[in-house]
Amino acid sequence: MENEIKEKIKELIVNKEVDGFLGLRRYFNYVVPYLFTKENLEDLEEFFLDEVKYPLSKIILKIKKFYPDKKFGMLVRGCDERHLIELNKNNRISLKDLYLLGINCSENMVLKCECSSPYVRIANISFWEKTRGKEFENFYKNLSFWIEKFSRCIKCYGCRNICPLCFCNNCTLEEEFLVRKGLLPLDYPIFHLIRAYHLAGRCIDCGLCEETCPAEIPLRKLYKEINKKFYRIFGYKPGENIEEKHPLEFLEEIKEKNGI
Amino acid sequence: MKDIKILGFLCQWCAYQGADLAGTSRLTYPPEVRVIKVPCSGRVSSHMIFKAFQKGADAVFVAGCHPGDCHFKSGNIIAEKRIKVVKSILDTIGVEPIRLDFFFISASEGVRFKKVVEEFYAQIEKLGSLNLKNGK
Repeated sequence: MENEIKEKIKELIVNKEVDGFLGLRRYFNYVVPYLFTKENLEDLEEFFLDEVKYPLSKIILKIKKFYPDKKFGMLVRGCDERHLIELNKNNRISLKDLYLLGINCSENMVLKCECSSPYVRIANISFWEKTRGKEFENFYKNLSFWIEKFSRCIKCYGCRNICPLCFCNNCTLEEEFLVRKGLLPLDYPIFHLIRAYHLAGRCIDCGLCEETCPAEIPLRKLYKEINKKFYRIFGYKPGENIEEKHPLEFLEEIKEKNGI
Repeated sequence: MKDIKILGFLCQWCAYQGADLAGTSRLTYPPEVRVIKVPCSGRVSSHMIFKAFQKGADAVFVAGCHPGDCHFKSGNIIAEKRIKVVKSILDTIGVEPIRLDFFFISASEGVRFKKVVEEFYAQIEKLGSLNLKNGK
C-alpha cells in the first residue's frame, strides 16, 4: 500500500498536478515533515508512512505564506482534514489550491488518539479502509482539579504554537493587560480561559496541545467538554461542514442586516 | 457590607441610564455591585469578563438594551451569544455558571434594574465568594 501511495505522489509531481507534496520522510532515524518536489523526487524512497500523527496542516500554512501561488499536495489524516476545513472557513488557506491525499486511520490509531472521526471526507483520493470512531466518556471535574492543573503551567506557549487553528499575527495571550510578562507562576486561569474561549466552536479535537504540553494539563479534554456544551447551545460542530459558519461570526450577519 | 464583589458592565445607552434612573428615583440596590460604563454591551469581550474573575470578582453581569433597541443595531445580540459561550467555559472548569449573567434593561426601567440586581445579588450571596486562585 505504501508503494501505491508513493507511485501516486510521483505521478502527481511528474504530471505537474501539484508543485510540491508535503509528507513525512525518514531522516537519520527521525521522522520529519518534508516537501517533495520535482528537484528532489529521488527522496521519495525515504517517504515515511506509519501509525503516527504529525501537524502537517500547521506546516502547509507556513509554506503557503512563502509560495501563495503554487499548488501543493498534502498527506492528510482525518484530523488534518478537519484543520484544513476550519482554516478554509477562516480564509487562511484555500482548499482549491490543495490536493489532499487522504489516509484513513487504523483501529490501533483510533484507540491511541481517542478519535471520534478517524477518516477523511473531502480528500481527492483516499487510501486504507474506513474505521469507526470511538466516543469517550464525559470528563467532569471540579474547580480545584482544574486550578491545580492550570497552576502547573510554565507558560511555554507550546499549546498555542502547535495548534493549527492559532494563526493570528497578534496573539491575545501576549497582551500585557491580560497575561503579565516575565512572571512565574503565570496568571492562571485567565491564560487557559482565553485560549479555551478562542477555541470554543473551533477546536476539532486533534489532541496536539495535550501531547505537546510539558506540564501535562488535560487541555484536550477541557476543549472537548466546552465544545460539547457549544454544540448543545448552537448546534454547531467544527470541521464537519465546509459551508456552515461559526455561530459567533457576526460580520456577514451584520452586513446582511444593514444591506452593505 | 458582605465580602462579595459583583461587577456590572452596563451599556451607556440603556442599562446605565436605567441605573441612573434608579439612582435619581432614590431606589437602593446592593452596594456590593460595582458598575462600569461601556459604549455598548457588545464591547464587553470574553477577556474582560475573565479579567474581572481573575482580579477577584465573585460574579459578573452584563446589561444591554432590549433586542432591537441597540444603538449599534446588533451589539446586544452579540453580547448575549458571547456570554452563553463564556458561561459554558466557566461551567466546564467548575465555576457555577450563574455567577455570570446577561440582562436586557432599557433606559426607563429603573425599578427593573433594582429588581434584577437584587435577585442576582441574592443568588450570589447564597453561593458565597469565589476563590479562583486557590480553587475553592
